Amino acid sequence: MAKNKIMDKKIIKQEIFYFLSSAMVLFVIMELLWPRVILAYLNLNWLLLVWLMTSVWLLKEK
Amino acid sequence: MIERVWKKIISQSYWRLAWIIILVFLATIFLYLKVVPSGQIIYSRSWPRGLSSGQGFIYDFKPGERLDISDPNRLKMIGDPLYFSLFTPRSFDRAEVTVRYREHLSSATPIVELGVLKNKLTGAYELQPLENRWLDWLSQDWFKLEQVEGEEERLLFLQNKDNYQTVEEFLVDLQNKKLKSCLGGPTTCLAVYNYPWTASYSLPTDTAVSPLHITQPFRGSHQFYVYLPVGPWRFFLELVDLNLDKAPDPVIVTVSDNQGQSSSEELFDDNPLPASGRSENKELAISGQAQTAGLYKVQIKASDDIVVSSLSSPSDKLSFINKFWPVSESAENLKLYTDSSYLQIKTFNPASLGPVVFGDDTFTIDETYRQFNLFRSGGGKISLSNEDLVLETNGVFALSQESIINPQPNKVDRFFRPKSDTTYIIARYQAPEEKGGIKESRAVLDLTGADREEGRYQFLLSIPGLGVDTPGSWLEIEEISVRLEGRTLWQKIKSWIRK
Repeated sequence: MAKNKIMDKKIIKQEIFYFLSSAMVLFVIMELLWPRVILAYLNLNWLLLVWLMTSVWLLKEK
Repeated sequence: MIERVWKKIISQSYWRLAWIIILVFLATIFLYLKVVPSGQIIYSRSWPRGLSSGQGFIYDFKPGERLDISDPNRLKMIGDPLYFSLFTPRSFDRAEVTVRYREHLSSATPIVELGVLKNKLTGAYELQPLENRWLDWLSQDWFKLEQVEGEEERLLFLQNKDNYQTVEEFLVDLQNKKLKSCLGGPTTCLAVYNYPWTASYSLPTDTAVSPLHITQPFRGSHQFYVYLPVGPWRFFLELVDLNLDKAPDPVIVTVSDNQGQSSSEELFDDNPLPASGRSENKELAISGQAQTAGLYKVQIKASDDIVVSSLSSPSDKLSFINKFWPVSESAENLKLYTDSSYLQIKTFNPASLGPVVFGDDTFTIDETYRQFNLFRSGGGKISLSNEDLVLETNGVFALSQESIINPQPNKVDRFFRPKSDTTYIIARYQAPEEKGGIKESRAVLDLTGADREEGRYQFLLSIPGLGVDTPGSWLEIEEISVRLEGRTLWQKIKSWIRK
């Protein structure tokens, strides 16, 4: 049971990382296609920072 | 074992599906905001800015020296004009800009206007009023009538005698050029603001006009009134492209009559010598047939890299409108005439500093990049001892006293003073609303044909006269909100199908 919980947490962390990575790629592509369409609403630096923190967190666990 | 792997797959798929849905949802929202299918959207910016992390749509307030930067969370304008950009993900046809502001302005700066860049080549902005305190002051003392025009515009009519009971009655008389208590005709007793009214102008039929050849070079965009008799006409311009900047320098000349008929000629620039400083000589001619004798308006649209070295006109009854920028050595001892009581002079060239005679007085231009405001006593003669001075007024400039032609009535601008014969004022204007020291004003701007570069419209906030001559005067913006309207997605698709 405890093992299952640990596995679930790991999956969640992984999926958050995948989500942030995909969001980053998607938003950068959209920004390249239509400049300022994302940046006007959202500072991608913050997204990059969260993505980096998640990456480090994930690597540390591995 | 199998059960554990199956659970993992189920759990993973569940989470993956969840974030993919979130991502698709976010992408759809951003695409929706990019396309704006309804054709309507509002962008706003307030000061202080709050928690917003994005770059926003209203930004790039410049130049910095016209802002008080002591508090970065405030936008305090201390110089004129202030430029800013509006980013839009697509083009729009109309902008309704609402500005909320506090002001501490003196009587020397009674006007606040907002504009959008219409022509990058000439730097022409379409300006709309936010506040005109001359009209606000006179609204309290004079007889005031208002008329709503369409959904948006409001026509303000002021009269210092209770001659008219309705605006319509006045407009009918104005059309017939027979205003009550106005013997000298509408141009003598009428003042306008943001209202396009021009008197039809005619000379006695026996007045002879002779060809005119202006050899005094002038720089950049100019426009002039010229009286043309019935028959063929031809304007010939000799031009010099100074090639001081990188951009190409096309020249467009448009000749239009009172009925709105116009013809134009464009001289393209292949730009073989950009920013080389080597000048190129060019020529442009435009000709046509005047169906009726009368006043024609000629517009020369060109960048400041272009000097008109000579101009041949079929008529000597010619007056430059609002601006004249003489250049070259021959400007020494140049004599000009104006019908205006004031003159604005500035120069970018240190060699041009020196005395200027305006009317009976002599003034000294002793600083570059500064606008000098000169008020005359006596006649409207201007004597320049130096070249390269930008002369501006709300009237006209002519090379001889007899050539002065100005069909425009008096304007309620910052130099306006009600004369004894000024009886009526008509304006498209609505006074700002004031609550708790904060004023709110609205300007509607036409964006069709406005300059949009890299998704940005260029705006201007103008308080004529605000600057070094008005210390302690400022305008602090609380919020700018822009409501944009354009074609809907369906209208766009229909236009594609039609193509």
